[in-house]
Amino acid sequence: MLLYLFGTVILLICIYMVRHYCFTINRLINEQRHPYVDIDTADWPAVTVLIAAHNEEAVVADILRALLEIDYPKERLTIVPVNDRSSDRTREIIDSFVERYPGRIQPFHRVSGKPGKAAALKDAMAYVKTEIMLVFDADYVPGKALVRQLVAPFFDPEVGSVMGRVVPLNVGKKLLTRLLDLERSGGYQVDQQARMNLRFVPQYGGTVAGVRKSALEEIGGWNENALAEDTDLTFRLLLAGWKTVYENRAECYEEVPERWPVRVRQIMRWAKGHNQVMVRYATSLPRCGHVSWRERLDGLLLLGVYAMAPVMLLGWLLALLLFYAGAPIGGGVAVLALAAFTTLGNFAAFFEIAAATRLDGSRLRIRLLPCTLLGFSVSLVSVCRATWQQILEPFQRKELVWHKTERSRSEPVAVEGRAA
Amino acid sequence: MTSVWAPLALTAVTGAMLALPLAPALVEVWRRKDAGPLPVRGDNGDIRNFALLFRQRIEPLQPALISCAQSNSVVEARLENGDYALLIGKDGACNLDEERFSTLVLFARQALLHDQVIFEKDVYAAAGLCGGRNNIFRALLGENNVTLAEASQVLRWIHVEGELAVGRNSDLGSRCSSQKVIYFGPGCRFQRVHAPTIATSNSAPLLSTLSNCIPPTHATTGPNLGRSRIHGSLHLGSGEVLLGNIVATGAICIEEGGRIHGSAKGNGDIELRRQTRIDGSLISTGVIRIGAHCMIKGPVLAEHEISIAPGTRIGTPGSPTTVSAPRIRIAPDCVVHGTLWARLEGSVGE
Repeated sequence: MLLYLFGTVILLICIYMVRHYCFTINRLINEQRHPYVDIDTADWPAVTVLIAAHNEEAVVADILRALLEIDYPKERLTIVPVNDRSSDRTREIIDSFVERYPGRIQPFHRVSGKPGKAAALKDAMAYVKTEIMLVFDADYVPGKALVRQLVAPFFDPEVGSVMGRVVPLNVGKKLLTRLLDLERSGGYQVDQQARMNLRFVPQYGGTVAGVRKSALEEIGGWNENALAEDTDLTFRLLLAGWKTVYENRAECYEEVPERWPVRVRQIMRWAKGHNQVMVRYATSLPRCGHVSWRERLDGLLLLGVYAMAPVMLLGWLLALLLFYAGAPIGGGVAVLALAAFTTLGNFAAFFEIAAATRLDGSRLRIRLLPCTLLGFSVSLVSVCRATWQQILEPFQRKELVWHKTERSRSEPVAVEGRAA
Repeated sequence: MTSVWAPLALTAVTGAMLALPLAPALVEVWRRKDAGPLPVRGDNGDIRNFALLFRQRIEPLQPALISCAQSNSVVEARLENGDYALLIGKDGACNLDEERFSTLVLFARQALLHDQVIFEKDVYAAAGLCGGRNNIFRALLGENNVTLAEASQVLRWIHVEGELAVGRNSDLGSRCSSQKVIYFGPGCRFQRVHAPTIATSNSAPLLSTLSNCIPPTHATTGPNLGRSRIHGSLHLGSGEVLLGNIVATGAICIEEGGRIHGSAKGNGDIELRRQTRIDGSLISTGVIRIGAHCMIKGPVLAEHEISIAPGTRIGTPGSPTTVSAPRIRIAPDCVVHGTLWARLEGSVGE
């Protein structure tokens, strides 16, 4: 019995390993799909940019400044900072911008209501009068062409949401930030783009992203009960026949966590939210006839990425148990050892990171590759802990709590972009 | 003695062998040589960026260029970075012996070039410029009208503030833009082209536009139009009209005179027969074949190829748009308002 279980674990791990190899090879060798990147002239539609901000005094001014400089017809761009029950100077900073740039910013100061980004965005929909809306977290710093790049895919009537590429800004601060930079590179440059190339399910990430309002209304709006409203939205749109597209060249700077406890909380929130979505859609997705088989397959594997952490841990425990029980596990342990590190979905396998650094043209940061084992281990433990808490929560009658990621920025951002 | 040193040496060697693969990582952690954020795109993507930079670069030579024009002379000047520039103040045909210019060339007055002249560095034309046959330009900025004669080549970029006429069988390597209008002769090759009006003919009457035919709306992303999803292929009969945005999981074929009041997306090839009309965008994961005398208002995108038959109009002067695919074949007598972007190869039919 335990042997069969061990075999199943190895099989699952190998499936994910093959998936990651396919993505990497596709990204390195195959033709890349950027179907909307060349739309540089159009009758640009009116757009609302929502900035989710909860206690963001350290960063909110930077994003407002960047958005005011954006290259998009001013009369068709509405900036809506969603100040969600902030207790710091966020409101004051936003209001000072409203005063300085009359008519450009329509703030939404949310003073009560359910906590969480999805709940805040849901309430902010009253301010969205346009068909296209973009969503940014307050720690992001969009470049001049970013809004146009994110809006361009919406000329395709099949597109319900768009996701851009997230690039860490505070890379050099700590070892953690450097590891997260590598992880993000692998996750976006390889994982997301390969899914776009293969016509799989690129993931809407909730920031540096756009949503079509009619598509959102069709699927019932933001799900305020979702801890990972982005993943939840990806799958609801998919089931309703809308596509999510990934724009690798729509790059935007973000601030990544600089302290390990902050990172652990972040990843635990993502794991819980993702697992919520898995439970919700894992049975309905395979039965959804109008979704292509490749989207269903990739969607299922995407739903399971965070579940793989406890599965992997179980595999190692089983390997120990079976070894000391004298069971004939033979090469199983070797396969497990080899495959495990290449498996953990969203944390980007080491070869994905290596491929991403090559594609990004950054030469020396690849030397840090062995250090990703540290990030991998922390992620593994955090995800397992989150899953365990999630299993226990219904019995403990605890409500899921939304943890905001702390910001560390102390100076305004001035970033030079590369030339055309 | 031996019993102490042997295990110590073994431990040290084993430790060193284990640490060796980690050495580059530790060095990078310590010395932080590549610890900056990855560069992201910071420019606005304007096709004229190179031209604007070039104009900025030659700005210090403007007084010399004016005096050159006044004295009807040819002088050599030097830029701040040490590059030489040839300032030509003569009007009309350039009676210069060279067939190959290895410096920047700045024309102060109307210039008429001989055949087969090669400009290895960028060219600036303060007034009009009329090229000769088989001229090769590295890059060209024209402040007025520019005419490129038959079989001309531009290797990097060309930007013209006035009208640009490109003679037959010319090859425009990369960026080509005009603030007014670009006329392409038959057999021309292009990649990225932008102008309020791009016409694949040298005849001015072609420039009758769509503005009178298509009402000015901002419906290209399809607000309030609703969306229909067809499982399989869509076939719209002759003269049939479809209201709303349409997505087909297969191919799309619209017969003669058909019309879609919205956008259309085909997960397969799209074929528009004669005189069809699309009021929004037209997007295909395969090939788009646009028949003669069609009208399309929004962006036209195909992941493989677009072919456009004579008489077709895409975009309007008030609502310019983008036509983009790896390969674009456009027949003579077509008009595009906005951008024509062939990632791999664009060509004008004979």
